[in-house]
Amino acid sequence: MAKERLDVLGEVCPIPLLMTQGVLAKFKNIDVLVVETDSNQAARNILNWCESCGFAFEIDDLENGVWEITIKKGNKCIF
Amino acid sequence: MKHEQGKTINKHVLIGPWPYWAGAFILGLLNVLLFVIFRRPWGVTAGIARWGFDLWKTLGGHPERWAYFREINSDILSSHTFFNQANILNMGLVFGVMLAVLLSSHFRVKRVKSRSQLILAIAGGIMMGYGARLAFGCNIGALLGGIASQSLHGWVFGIFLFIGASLGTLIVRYYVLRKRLP
Amino acid sequence: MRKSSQMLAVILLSFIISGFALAAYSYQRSFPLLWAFGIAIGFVFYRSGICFSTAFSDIVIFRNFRMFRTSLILLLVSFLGFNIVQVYSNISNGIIPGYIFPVGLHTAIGGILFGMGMVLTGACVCGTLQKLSEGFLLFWFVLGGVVIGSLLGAYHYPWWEVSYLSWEPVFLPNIFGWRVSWLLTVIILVGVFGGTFLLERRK
Repeated sequence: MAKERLDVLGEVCPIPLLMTQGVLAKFKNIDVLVVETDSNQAARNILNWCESCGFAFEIDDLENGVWEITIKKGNKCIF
Repeated sequence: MKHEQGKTINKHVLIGPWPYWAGAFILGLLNVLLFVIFRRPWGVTAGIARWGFDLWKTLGGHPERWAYFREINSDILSSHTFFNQANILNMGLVFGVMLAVLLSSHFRVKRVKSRSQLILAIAGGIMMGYGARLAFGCNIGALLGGIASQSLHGWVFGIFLFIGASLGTLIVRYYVLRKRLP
Repeated sequence: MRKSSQMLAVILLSFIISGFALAAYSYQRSFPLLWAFGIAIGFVFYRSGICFSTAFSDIVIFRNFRMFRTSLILLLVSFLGFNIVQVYSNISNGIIPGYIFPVGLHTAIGGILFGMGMVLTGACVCGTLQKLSEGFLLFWFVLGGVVIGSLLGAYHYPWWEVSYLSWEPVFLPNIFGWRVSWLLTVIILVGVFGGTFLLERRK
């Protein structure tokens, strides 16, 4: 199971979601992507997108204002 | 573990994220209440233009001579630098967000990442400030306030804002996909 | 690193907020109320995560109209309430409160510039204030840009007004009548709202 880490700390939306999508589209062998973000809105954006695509995800509060989202990629979304 | 739980409102009103539509509704009500009580729509950029006015004055300029401030924004000339309507509302917004952030322990200082990010940010800010003055408001003042006040300028602003935002978004997407992806 | 509570800062902030309210009261009686409004607005913004910039960029990138619809709700609620105030005020003393400003080429250019700037920065002006309070240092610079842009815009405005098209403010009920104007506004807003669902489905 290929696991990758994406660090988008300091980026403001729409960049975190754009990069998350971009990475998943470009590197098709990734099964699990761990995104680290410090923007509340961006985190929520990513979660909403995962939900609409039917991906399983987990979110964890790492430290004050940093969130780690673990995304298990599914087959549904074509992007 | 899903982060979004709108159901147990008691527990999460202070901490958890609220549903988008609920926020929209409440903000709409607050906007209307503000209008009822103060007879003036909510606007953000007027206050910021005010800061520009004061800044330029301190730097030795004479913005009070400019036609814009004399004719359109004339209440600038008579109100207090800090304790004026526009500024109090803006400052309140800043403190309100800070309160919400701290209550959920989300506060964190996020540094600037790169020079290109900085240049983009300043350029975007200048565009927003310039555009807002030309249209007499930003998305809050001109789009929201204008359309809600049934003024044509609000609708025109809205349509062209959409065009500009679409263009800008395509630029951002191109930049991220070509230059930023590993 | 585990999360730590920031309640101490909350208490400190509450003192500052109260102090400010008292200071504002000495300038005008209504200021503490205005201050409370500002705080409420900011609080709701952060909790609900509404962002105008996202509303537009999501449409273009992801064909997602969710945040846009949220803005439409805000717009509709505001309009319905504003209208009542305007009608009441018009009947009582003939004054129509609201933001009714000149419209012209400058409005269109302003829209395009603002729209572009908004998505390039990732936040509108009010979003900039929010991100500032969240701790993003970058947005201090955005704010600086907005101040500079505002000064330039104010300085250039007369040139736009004289050299290009600009008309006197247009108050829609003066053209269509109060009833038709109300209906048109509601129909357009609700229509666009419904239309977004169709557009999403046609993916």
